[in-house]
Amino acid sequence: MSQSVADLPAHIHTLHILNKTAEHPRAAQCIATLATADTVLLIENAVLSAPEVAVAAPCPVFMLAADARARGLIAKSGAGTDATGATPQIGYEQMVQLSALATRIISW
Amino acid sequence: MADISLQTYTLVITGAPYSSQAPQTALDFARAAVTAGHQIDRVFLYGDGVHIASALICPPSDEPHWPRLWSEFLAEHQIPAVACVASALRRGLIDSGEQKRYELSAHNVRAPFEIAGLGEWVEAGTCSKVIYFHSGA
Amino acid sequence: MTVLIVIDQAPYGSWSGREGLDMAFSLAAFDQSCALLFSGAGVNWLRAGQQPDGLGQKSVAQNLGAAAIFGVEALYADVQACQRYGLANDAIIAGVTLIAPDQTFMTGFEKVTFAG
Repeated sequence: MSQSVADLPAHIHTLHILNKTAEHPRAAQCIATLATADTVLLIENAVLSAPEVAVAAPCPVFMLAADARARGLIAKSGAGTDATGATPQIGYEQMVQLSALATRIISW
Repeated sequence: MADISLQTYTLVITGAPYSSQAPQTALDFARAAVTAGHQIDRVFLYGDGVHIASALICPPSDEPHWPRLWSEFLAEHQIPAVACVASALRRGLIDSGEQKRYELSAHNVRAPFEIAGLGEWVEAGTCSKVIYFHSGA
Repeated sequence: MTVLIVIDQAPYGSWSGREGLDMAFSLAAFDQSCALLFSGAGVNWLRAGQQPDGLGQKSVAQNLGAAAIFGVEALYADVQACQRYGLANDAIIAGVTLIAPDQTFMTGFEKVTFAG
């Protein structure tokens, strides 16, 4: 049994789940290990560093919408603001899909 | 478009309730995974994450009760949940067996959580996809 | 299949590194292939001459001495972090391999895990 999804990468080597802001040493370590076949998911406080991570990452970057909304990064209308660095926002359902697509998952 | 095959997940939570967001992120992930038809074969609490298994946590009534929400989710979906014994004993998380063994005055592990060794975590790693939910910063 | 357990917290001031070591020892005890990486402030685990008796704690370097006996396959240290903390080669306990924890290094492990 399978289901199909849109807007997510077809294959992910490593899904990097980052929950810390960019000045945390572990965020720097995460960014240093990214490859083009990887995907980054920013959750919790890491959404605050979305523009920084999006510029540094050689691979797709997503952020959890609930975390971005909670921290005031998304306008009430649902439109993204500069604070998201145009990072695509996804829900927990798509976080599950990213996890299923990934060969390896690292929680930083 | 991508095909998504059904997965078996083990969730490891190392962030404590009320000092990290980990128990909420993990619970929302777990709900979404179950809704999508994936299996969660167990939840493993490690380090400060063992506090989720405390029966004595009493948050203010207008705050989410993460231990209770987790217990209800686990019971509803019959998902086994284990707190690492070494992490738990150091932090005062005690089941009735450990209460007797160490002659303590009480036990405080909330059902359906159980206490077990890291062997459970090692075994999970060989047969399912393991996702960690750590404390942020 | 090798699991890399990463310790990036300095010893004594927090417990998360010890819980990382417990994970590595458990994997090894169950015959799972595993290695330890010390990165960031975690490289201070590897400094020779630790004397924590005044803190009521056991020496983490001594705990680490059991790694090879338990079957932990390698101890790696981030070379840049060692430089940052003034850890010259002769100041590091025996049996440690210095590496750069870049994408090439990390790709070699089936799993990369932090204890917390």
